[in-house]
Amino acid sequence: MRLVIASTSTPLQLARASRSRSAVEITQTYLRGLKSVEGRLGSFLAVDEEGALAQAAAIDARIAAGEDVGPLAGVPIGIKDNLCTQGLATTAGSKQLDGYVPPYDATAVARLRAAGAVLLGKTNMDEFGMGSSCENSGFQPTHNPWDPERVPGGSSGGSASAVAANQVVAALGSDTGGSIRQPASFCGVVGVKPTFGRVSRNGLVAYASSLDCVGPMAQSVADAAALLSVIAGPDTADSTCSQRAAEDFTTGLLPAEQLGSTPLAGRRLAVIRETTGEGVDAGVSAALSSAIQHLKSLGAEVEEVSLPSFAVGLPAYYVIALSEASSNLSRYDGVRYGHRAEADELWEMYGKTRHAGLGSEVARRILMGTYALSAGYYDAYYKRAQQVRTLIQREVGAALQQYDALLCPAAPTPAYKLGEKTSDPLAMYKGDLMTVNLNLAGLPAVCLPCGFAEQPGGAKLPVGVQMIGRAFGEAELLQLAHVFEQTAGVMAEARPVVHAATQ
Amino acid sequence: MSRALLVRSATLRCLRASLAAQHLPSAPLAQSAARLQCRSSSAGGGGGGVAPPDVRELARLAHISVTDQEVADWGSKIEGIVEWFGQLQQVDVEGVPPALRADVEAAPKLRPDVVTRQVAGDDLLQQAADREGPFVRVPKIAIAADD
Repeated sequence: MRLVIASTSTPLQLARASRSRSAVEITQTYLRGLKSVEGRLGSFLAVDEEGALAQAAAIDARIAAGEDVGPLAGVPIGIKDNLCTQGLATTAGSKQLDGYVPPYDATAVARLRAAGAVLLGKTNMDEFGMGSSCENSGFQPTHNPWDPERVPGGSSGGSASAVAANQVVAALGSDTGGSIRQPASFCGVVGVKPTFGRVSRNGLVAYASSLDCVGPMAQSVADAAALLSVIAGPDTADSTCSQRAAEDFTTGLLPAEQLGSTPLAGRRLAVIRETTGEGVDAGVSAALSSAIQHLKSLGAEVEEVSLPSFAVGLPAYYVIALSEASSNLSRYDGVRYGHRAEADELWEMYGKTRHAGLGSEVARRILMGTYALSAGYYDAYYKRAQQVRTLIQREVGAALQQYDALLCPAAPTPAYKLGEKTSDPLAMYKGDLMTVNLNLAGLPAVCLPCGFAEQPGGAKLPVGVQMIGRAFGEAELLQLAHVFEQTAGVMAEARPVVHAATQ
Repeated sequence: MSRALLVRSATLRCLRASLAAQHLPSAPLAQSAARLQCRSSSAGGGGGGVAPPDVRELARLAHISVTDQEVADWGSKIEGIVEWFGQLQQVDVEGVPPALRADVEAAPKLRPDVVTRQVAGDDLLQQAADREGPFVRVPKIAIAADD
């Protein structure tokens, strides 16, 4: 019997449809598929076959005993390797944490387990979240399933490629400056960056504490909504986590047949003017234009809005993120966990440990953060960046008073080739232009496929559109994205070159 | 050659001071002196009179050992990026309060003011490289002559 993994099926529907197959059978099928394509992709840093089968067997036992097993029962999931998984190595993509086994689950991970999800493994990422291509992983690059010579994006590149290639049904990622949305765009999957504080950061290896968000990546908006519903909600272990009650984000998502002819009538949307035109790849612009046309055909009003501080958000983001990172990463000293270098003297031990354990990009970012926070330079850099952050918050906030949601691409280009940007870090930073401002503002955004960019030679690379909503407005935002997805059919005929069958 | 790369955005006077410093017997003191001179005369980095980043000094502050090759290689990359940060100086931020965080909701409710005790379990120290009972052993702290 074939497992039907249509992009419209939710994990719950999947689980129910496959109730005639056991969770163990589903897990075995997915593990087979995962392994069959993993050699070409490198999505995973660790695959926990034994643990996954044990989790699945436990679910089957509970179903047999008549117990309620949760909305994600039996669903195979990948977890980005910067989220702590009890008993399973967690490296955050860094040699500094090679072999580190956390004694606890991150809150988001614990909630997925409690909902019955089966964790197949830990996905690859740029080291400590620092990168936009997965090429900064301390262990291996990951390859884009649509063209294995290209990057999957980053830093949640492993999760994005695993979901796109159907190695897992869905995955968790994290987003500090676009690390869920940009890989979602590059890999043609759905990625959600929730409002800052919507999902607990307890157990997430910290990069920049005022920017980091945990979020789902999935093959459909409905699936992403199902995951978000499970992981979101108050957590006393994270004092920056909102105390707003958990919501079920799937209830507003109607099937396509029930949508009517103008389901977005009355919605006022706006494209961010600074993200169109010069500097944006023609294929990306074309895909965005067709998305706008489609939204209009659904009854929405789509205008343009200007955010004058948009461009300066990028250096402001990097000053803030790198400053916070220089503080957060000072804990990697080899004393209580992680790699420790041999030395006769303590400060030498710190220096050698961090030199060996941390990659060059991470080390450079720590040095730049150290510089920006140095006495005498604080006003020129960090304080100034925070003032720019206020300006951006005001501008985006004002725009979202006028409009229900804002639109823009998730990246100025589709996926580029491995090695293309590794020699110039600044070139890679500039690719984050479309995403960082939402982290500065703490707002939620969904990235979903809206078209393809044709390459010379005929290859088609996916392009995503970002829909940006008001703080804690994920329900309306996901509903908007769901309507677009169900009616546009972007992924209906398309499949990546590397894809795991589920026979 | 590598030293020239580091000070390329500084003035010629600064360069001469740095080169002279290499030949003096008490090298660290001379380097500090050269740095002080550079600070007052250079207009690099983010503007506003801040000196360009000194990779070796930053690495010392951040407790990351660096090789000469890395100082040379990273120096130009870091300088380029810090110069790019400089565009923040062009923004009018007069009277704008700094944002400490994303301002997505009013300050969260505080928890009740009662003492709760959370004991760090032994499991948190299980990964330490060198343990003895409740203690974690590390190398001694030595005060080196040139630290």
